[in-house]
Amino acid sequence: MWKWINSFAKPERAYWLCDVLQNWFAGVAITGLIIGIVWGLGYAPQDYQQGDSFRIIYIHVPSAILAMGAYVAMAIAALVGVVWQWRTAFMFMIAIAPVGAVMTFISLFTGSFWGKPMWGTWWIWDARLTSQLILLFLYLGVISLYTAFEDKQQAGKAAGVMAMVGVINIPIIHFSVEWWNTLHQGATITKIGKPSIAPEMLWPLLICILGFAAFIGWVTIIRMKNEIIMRDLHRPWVAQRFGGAETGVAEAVANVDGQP
Amino acid sequence: MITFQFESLNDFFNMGGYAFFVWASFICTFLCMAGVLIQSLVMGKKIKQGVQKEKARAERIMAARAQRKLKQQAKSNTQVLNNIDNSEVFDEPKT
Repeated sequence: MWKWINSFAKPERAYWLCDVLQNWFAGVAITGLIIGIVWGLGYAPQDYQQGDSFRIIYIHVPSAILAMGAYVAMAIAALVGVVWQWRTAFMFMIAIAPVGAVMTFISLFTGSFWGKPMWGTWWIWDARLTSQLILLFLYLGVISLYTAFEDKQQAGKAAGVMAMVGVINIPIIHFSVEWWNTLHQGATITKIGKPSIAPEMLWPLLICILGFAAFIGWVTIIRMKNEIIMRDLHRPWVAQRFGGAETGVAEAVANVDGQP
Repeated sequence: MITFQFESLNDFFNMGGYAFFVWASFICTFLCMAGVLIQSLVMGKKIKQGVQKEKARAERIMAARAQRKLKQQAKSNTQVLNNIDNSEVFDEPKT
């Protein structure tokens, strides 16, 4: 089992896995997002207090939850990279970081546009909002730390340590609504026991979450493939597949040899 | 059980008076997601183009090198006949 998992540490294997998974993620992302958002926008019942403004939930909650989920995934990859010295783990880490940052930004933006009509303010320095903002800065920190190093193995280690330390922010975000007095409402789905949302509203929300998750996976796979090729540019397997300088030489030699 | 919640399409776009907030959120989300997706795809394309370019460059270099060698061989053959020292000179073409 461990040996099998370890085989994916090889960039070549990882690339193959990305190729296999890419279209599945794309399909689930596109169908999930279309069904979830159309259902949420048009067919879910109105909220009795918030009217139609509550429909922002169908992008706000998925992006916020998955921004945290993507961060945890990134931190786990960083841990694997640091402990087992997997190059591919660092590649995954840096592939998912920009996607997670975009998700965090979406959650902050939509939250702001939801807060204005409901709370009467675009922004407030409250525990949930501030900790989510810190999450965005953590993502940006990981990305910029990685790009700051010329040697990408060093870069992976440095950014990986930062990603792992930043995990402390995840429980803070989650429990911020319970630990401190905050304007933000409590958890809706991840409550112990029954979720405090009507099933007609919950289903499209769950489908949206699935769609967002698959979207993150999809874009991460695309970025991961880019990263693998870029890092392994001069390895024989990349040359064999996409034709690099190495195959150029080989083909030229073959042509010359073929000539009398 | 599942019915369209709005009386008309106009009603739908109005979003119960919250049109600006709801649609701004959805449009921004769409743009962000499309942006990160397209940027990733374009980056991949550029990388693959770069790889192809490098391949073409290596081919050009090798072809030029081979040609130079052939010329040199022909030259050195005549030089040998003239009893002049034949030393091979390799220089790479600028690309």
